[in-house]
Amino acid sequence: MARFVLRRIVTMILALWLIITLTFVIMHSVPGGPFSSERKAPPAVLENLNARYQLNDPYWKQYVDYFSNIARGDLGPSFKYDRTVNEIISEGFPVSAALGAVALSFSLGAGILLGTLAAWKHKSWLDYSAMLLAALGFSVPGFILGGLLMYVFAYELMWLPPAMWGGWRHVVMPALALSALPMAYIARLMRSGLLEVLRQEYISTARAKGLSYGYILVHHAFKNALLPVITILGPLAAAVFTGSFAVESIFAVPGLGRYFVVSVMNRDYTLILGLTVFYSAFLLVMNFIVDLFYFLLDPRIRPAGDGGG
Amino acid sequence: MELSKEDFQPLRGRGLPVEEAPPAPESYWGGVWRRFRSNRQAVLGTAVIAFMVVLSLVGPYLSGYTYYRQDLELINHPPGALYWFGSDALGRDIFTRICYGARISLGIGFLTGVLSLVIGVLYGGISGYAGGWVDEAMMRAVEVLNSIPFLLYVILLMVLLEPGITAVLTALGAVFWLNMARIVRGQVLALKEQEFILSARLLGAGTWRILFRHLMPNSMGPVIVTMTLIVPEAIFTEAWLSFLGLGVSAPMASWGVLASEGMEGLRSYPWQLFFPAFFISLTVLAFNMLGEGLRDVLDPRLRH
Repeated sequence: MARFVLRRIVTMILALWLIITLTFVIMHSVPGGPFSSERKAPPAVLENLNARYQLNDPYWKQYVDYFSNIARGDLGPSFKYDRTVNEIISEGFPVSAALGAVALSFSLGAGILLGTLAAWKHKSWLDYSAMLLAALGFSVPGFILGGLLMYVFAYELMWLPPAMWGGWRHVVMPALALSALPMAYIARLMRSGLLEVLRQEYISTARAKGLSYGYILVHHAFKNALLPVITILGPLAAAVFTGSFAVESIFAVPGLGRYFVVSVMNRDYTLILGLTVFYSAFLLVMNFIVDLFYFLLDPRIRPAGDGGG
Repeated sequence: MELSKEDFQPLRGRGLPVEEAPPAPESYWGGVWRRFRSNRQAVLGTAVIAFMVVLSLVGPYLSGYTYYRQDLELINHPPGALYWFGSDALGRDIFTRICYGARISLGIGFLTGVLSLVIGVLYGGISGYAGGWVDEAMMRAVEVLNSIPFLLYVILLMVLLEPGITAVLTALGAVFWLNMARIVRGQVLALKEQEFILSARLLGAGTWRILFRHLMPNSMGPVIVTMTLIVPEAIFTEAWLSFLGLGVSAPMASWGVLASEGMEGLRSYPWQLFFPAFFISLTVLAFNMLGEGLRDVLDPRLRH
């Protein structure tokens, strides 16, 4: 146990270091420096800007400064807005997190339900339609699904508002658009996990002693089939968050994802890099927690060599 | 015992019972082909993909328009006889643009698949074959890289590189080989301890011969499946990048670019989104079906 946790921590720290170094290198390989893309500033202004952002220091010093700033949780200023990256995060992240949490919970609920139904009525129309739904979830990109939902529910039926943020009515469509892919993943994993467990001999034993199929499914198979679903929660959270970049822009949700897209379009380098570091660190920690959780839940695994992602 | 001349004639000509030789055992690829033909999912997926490929090749010459010709008098024209799939905000023929987009999207998908195949097979093959601390170090590196949400770095790369096909390929190739490397390494690790490798070595086969003649062909199944599943993911990711404004640049258009253009006029001209959305989804679905089908076909032990 201790060895496993230690290994995960070391991996996480290495990854964090790699992330910060990568962003630093990228920041400094921007052609001409961050200020040259705008209209030509007078040399004196440029000089002042460079001095303010300490761009005249030797690289190693900038690297150390950058590192220690991040270690203190300071992601620096935005080049385009008159605000710090931290302020932008504290404003946008709660919105994104709320949306992501709704999307993930929905995909968990719907995915587990679909997968269980499919396994319960294996090779029936229920199974096939659940798997068709999952296949569709795999095939329609989130932002396109968002557009289609918007067309149907906002423009044609006029049931839901097409944009902005406020009550639950604003959450429905973006959350649906975000949850399609994770839902499909979870449904498939759940189904194959259940079918796998149902082939085991102890299930036959349970049948032989007279337990009903439904009882076995719920009390014996369910818990075991749930484990693979948990392992994939980390990557799925990552998928939801990266998906939210596009989906938040479509529905004009004032979350971090939209800031990210806007910063990409503005070439606001410090904001892009700050948000990247933030997202990466957040997802790394999420992954770590999921792994720990998994380890605690399943005493059988003693991971070695080939680790999960 | 009396022997007549007739006894020395072939049995076959005399209508007498003949003991037939058993049919030659089915070769691996023979079995693959037989299972492939009877796997509806795989066949259907292949058919759709083939249709898309043909469409991308001949489609642009069918309608008589080019992908860049603008007709500002006929902008946002609904689908009909004039423009099969309608026209866009600049009066360009959406059908022709979708056929061209197929070249770009499919091309990016295939090339990313091949790129990650090459890198992944080399990296994973070496790691698995070398074993020991080399394997440990190489796989730890993959583990660290894998824990980084790489789509973010794809964005960063795209911001740095000039947007275009090369940039998209570089960024996607840099990400998707990781999974491939893990699969290949697992295969090689499982295979290299088996007896046929030992006998090959006893017979004097060198490292490269063992790698390329014995290990690689035998680990092809999961590798092909992984590659098939990388293609739709790459198409997906490219569409998403295009939506963020980081895809191929105008006037060329991948399906992702077309879809995000369609998003702008969604309220009044929904077909501008519907057609690209349909083509992306159908193609991704087809590749996923083929991949899932191939998994059953290539490795019948792994049936779900």
